Amino acid sequence: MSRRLHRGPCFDPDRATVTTLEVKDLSVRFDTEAGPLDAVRGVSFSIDKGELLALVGESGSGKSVTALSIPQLLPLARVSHPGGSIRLGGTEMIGAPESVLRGVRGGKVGIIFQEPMTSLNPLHTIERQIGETLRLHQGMSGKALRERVVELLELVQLDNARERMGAYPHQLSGGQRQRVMIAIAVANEPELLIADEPTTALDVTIQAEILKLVRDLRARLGMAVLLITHDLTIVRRIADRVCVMNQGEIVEAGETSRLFADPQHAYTKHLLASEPKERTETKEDWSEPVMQAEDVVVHFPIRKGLLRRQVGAVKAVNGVSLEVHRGQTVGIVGESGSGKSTLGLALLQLRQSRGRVVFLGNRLNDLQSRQLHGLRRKMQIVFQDPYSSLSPRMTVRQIISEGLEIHNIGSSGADRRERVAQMLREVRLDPAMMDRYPHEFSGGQRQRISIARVMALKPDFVVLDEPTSALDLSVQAQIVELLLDLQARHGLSYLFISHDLRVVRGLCDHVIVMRKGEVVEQGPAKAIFERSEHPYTQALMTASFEIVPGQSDGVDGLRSGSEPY
Amino acid sequence: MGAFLVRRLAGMLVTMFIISTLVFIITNVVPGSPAALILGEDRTPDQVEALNRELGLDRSVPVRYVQWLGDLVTGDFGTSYYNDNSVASVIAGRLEPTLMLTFTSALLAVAIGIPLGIIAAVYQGTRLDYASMVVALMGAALPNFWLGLLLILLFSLYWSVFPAAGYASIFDDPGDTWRYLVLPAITLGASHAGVIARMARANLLEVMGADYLRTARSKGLRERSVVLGHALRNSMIPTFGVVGVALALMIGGSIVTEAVFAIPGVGRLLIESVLRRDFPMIQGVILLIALLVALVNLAVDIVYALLDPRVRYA
Amino acid sequence: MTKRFPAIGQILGASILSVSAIGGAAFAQSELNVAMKSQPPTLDLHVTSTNTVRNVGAHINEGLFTFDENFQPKPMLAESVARSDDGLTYEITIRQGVPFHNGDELMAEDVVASLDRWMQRSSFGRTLARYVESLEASGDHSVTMTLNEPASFVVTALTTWRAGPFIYPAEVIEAAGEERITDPVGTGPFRFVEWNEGQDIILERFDDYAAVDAPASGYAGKREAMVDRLRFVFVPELSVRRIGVESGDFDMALDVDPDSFDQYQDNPDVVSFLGAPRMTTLIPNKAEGVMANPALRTALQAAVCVEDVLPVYGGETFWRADPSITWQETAWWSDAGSELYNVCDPERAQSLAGEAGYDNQQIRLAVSSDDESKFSVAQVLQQQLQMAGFNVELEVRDAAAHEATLDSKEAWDLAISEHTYRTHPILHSHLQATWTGWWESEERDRLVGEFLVASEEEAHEIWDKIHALYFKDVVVIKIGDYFEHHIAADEVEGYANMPEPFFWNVSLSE
Repeated sequence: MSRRLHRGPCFDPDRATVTTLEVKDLSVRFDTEAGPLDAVRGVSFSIDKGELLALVGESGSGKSVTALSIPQLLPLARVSHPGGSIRLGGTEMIGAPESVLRGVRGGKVGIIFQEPMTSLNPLHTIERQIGETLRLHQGMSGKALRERVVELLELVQLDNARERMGAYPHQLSGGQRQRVMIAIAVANEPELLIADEPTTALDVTIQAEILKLVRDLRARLGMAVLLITHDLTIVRRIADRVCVMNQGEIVEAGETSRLFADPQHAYTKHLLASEPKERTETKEDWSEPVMQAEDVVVHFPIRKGLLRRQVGAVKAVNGVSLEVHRGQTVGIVGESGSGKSTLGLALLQLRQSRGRVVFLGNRLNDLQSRQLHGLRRKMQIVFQDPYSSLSPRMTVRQIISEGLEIHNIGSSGADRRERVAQMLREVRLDPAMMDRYPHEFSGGQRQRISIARVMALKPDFVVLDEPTSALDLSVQAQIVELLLDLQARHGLSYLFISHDLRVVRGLCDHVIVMRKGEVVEQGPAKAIFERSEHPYTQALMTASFEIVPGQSDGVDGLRSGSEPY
Repeated sequence: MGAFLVRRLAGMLVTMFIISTLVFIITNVVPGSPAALILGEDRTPDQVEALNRELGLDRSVPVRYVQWLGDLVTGDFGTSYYNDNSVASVIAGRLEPTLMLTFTSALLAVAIGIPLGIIAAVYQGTRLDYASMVVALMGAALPNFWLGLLLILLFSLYWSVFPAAGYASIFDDPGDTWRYLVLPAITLGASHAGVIARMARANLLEVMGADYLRTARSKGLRERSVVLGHALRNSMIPTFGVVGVALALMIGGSIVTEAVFAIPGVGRLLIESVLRRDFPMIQGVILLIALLVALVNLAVDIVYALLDPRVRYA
Repeated sequence: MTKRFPAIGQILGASILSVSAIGGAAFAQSELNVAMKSQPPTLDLHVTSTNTVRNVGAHINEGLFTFDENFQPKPMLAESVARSDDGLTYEITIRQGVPFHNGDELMAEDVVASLDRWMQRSSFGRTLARYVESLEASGDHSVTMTLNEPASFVVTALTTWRAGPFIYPAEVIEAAGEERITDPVGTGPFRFVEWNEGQDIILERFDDYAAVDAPASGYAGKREAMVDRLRFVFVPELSVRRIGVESGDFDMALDVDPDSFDQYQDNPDVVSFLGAPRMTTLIPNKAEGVMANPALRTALQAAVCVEDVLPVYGGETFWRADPSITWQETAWWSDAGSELYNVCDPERAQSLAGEAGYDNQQIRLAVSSDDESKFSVAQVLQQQLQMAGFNVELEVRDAAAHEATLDSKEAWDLAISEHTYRTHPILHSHLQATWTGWWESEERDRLVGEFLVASEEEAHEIWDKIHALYFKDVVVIKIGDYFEHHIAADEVEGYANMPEPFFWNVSLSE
């Protein structure tokens, strides 16, 4: 192997401290059916003991591939390293024998993955899953093992650690599971902790707690941490240094504060510009209500016993009232389980509910399904997941014109074709692509197709259910921009459902904060964001906007009652 | 769990009732006279009439149904038209071979299918994988009838290892039972082994891509421990469902195998009874098969709950 | 190897020699396994003429008389029979010291009870019953039967065949009442041990068996169980019955396919037997529908070419064209009226049909699907008849539905039937108006009446007249005879290949 010293932007051989990880000129090649694909090209960086390095990039940038290369966890059959070196505490990882790598994995290197819901074995207890790695690397067993598991669970601040040891993953919330993942990762006090998007799948308040935990453990155990993320807010608050990756290469690196203050590379600038901005102009007076709801209630019955008698109900939505006016965007904010999506479905009469719902002067609860059908065209919904909400067996044209046919809009095939083309232009897609299938489009493009499908029906009211959550930051910004543009042109009213306060801030005129089926606080966006009154809203704000290293009181404030379980 | 069991058993009763009614109606509207077959070619009209009276076939269908149902409630399944024996005792005598055959076949299918599927999945894309899947496909594709005769030709006629046909009861001749069961069990088990192998492979492959296996690898576990300790049990849960279905199918589907190997089981009894229009026997056998299938399904659900901590019945 | 039933005379001589040579030797629990297609519905020999019942039951129960190799009635349980000069009284003496399997001795009351029941339950018994005035025990070992008019066929009728007058103990008859007999106790060389439902029936040697003191001939003479156990195994699958004999699992298999015949000619381990001849007929419905027109029946009869039909039964060894309604091997064979048999003249058939007023009406040909041969016969016949201008439609049903169809006068016009021969013309069910096809004929009634009281010589002449009437009235259209095919392992010795198989006097060489 070449011992040539490579000076990459993230690599500084003159640093005085102890280097835990040293990656030099790393390349990763995938053998695909279409031929070799270089996912990572010439990446170099190093992490010192106790340092937290963030690897930032959008999906497909090669940041996770880089991270998984360190303990050589990529599937060997399809992956090769055409060049480069990964040295962990002086040991070369590329080409190391399996026995050495097994000692590294879980021993010197602990890893936290993105999906806490699926990263734990559903059939094993927590104790067994943590104990397994202790048994393997330290040969612990019996009472000592048990005690160490408790200790670890306490270390990651899992409540009732001792009682929870026998629990299975499904009995824990997402945040709790991520704590267990962290316990597994740090069980053998690794030199390096790799955290691959550790908070992306979590609610915002839980995100803050997990990040605080990672940060605290780093200090306590003196680990080096490699944080993989696409979330610039997190990077800004927690990382010591940042490497920005784009298309398999590190394009810029540096101290966090410097990088955010003075980005050099065009891509870094573009990324920073994509961060959700506060809405500048806001209107205060709304006069033309489109959707009015009073005291909406959705209960899911709980049945028990021999005769499946209803013994109670989950109050998914419990007496919510709201108004959406023409041209207005009302944001509904809340964590998972708050009932925000259920409320959206109830307003559209897609879910049985009680209470009064008036749309364009029609009381929807009283209408026959025939009359409702006529109004349905005017109230539409865009779902979160652009992958599963489009039928894979229909072309884009079929998807968009399906709604037109159902509602008898447009007379001939040619007419409908023209409408579809027009819609695609409006969402800034090339109409020439209308005969392709959804899988040929990227996530952002698919979400545009979903929007085009809805807009083709010329609705008055659109429920946007987390339309940007599954998208990369820069794509998110484009979709938000598109939605604002469409609203301005067509005088649409939006009900924007999101857990992401930053996006809400950039889009909404009015904000409703929901928790456990009830409205905690609502008001004009400006008022809510600048001087929220309810402690829960404040906690959400803190978690979203102020995850600052060292300012632990803000995070701690969230701990009480913030986890849904 | 208790309430769940009671509810499921009650549901089974309802199912049984519906099935029994349907079977009664179907058997009684299908043309054909049991008397003609019993009496043979020299029958005279008055003989037929007398026998119909003896069998109770002179009464109307609804009357017979009510009578039959009434008897059923008291545990009386009636008497065979054909040979005058009690349906319950005939079926009881025929049950052992079918149960033995089904269980042996299921064991065999599992013992062959699951390792085959695991090998194929672990060595995915290699020759071993293709070879295993060809074997599985052959097992699934060969007609029972044909495979049975082939086995008899090879193992009975050419090599004289196993008897060609018949059955030795485990109660009378326990040492001999297995010799009679080997060939039929292979015949009946082969197709299910093939299906199980393919399901085991597919399920294991699906699990092999699961996030928690990445977690297991990240702990530094050997690949063997990853597969055996983490992947296998998870992949076995859906596979087990297939095994349950296979078992249920075998109970009803052992007819051909029983005929080929002259095994006196309920499958053959059903065919014989249908051909003879032995209504009480048909009804009895179908009720029994339905009951067994329902019990297998219940057992599958219970085992699901035992295997998978996420499954809870209330 | 083949053994053909008409040649039994020669074979039998040799077999009996070999039988007596090893007769005294003791066998260590020898067992003869006979594979048959299906299990019998019952072991009550009185109620059904199904051959499975006879094949098993005839080893357990015996009758007063039985046939020798020339189909002459010979005493079995009877010692002798005396007929009064007026022909109205039969005095039957029963052999003494014959034990039932339950240990009781055979007495006259057992015979009376059995014959009474048989005359009520069996279709043949009821034929005889019409002539019987009274039946009573005239002593411990003698029975007197009084007739209301002379009848020549009494002894033949009392000779055991299918659904024949087999003798059960009186208490067994009484216990059965109106139901079927469930306790098969008899006097035969084998006694019933167990019936494993769906699997097999096991008989074993009856040690106290009282054999007739006469050389074995056909079913008659000395009977001896040469094996300890006789096991009838039910094997529905044809190829498995065959393979079982080849592999030694079974010693004999009944009803195997004729196609396998050639294969066994070169195989020293398996012996082929041509079994009982059976006849194939096309039955017209003479009661209702198009075929009720006798002239049309005659037209149809002229269109049939049996040589084109019979090859469905296999090679030429397995079938023969024969006009007789009675068996070629018996004295009752007749070719009277045979000018109407196998006419094979479609043009003539067509012109006759025109004269009969046939106007292309649909003719329903009913056939059951469970026998491949019947179905093939139906297909060939359909083609022949269509060529001659008959609009014949095949209606295929499974056996139970087919038989039920035959019981309904409106449901069919033509039917294919395969049935067994009877040892005496009077036992043929065709002769009765109630039988399938409903042949109402005063002339038949008159001739049968004469036949029954006639002397033996006259009887043959009268039978020729009845036989001619069959053709003239087109009661059935005879197609021909075909043979059953049984196979045995080489070790089986002494099997007398009579039309209905039996396994006493049969041993296994080792």
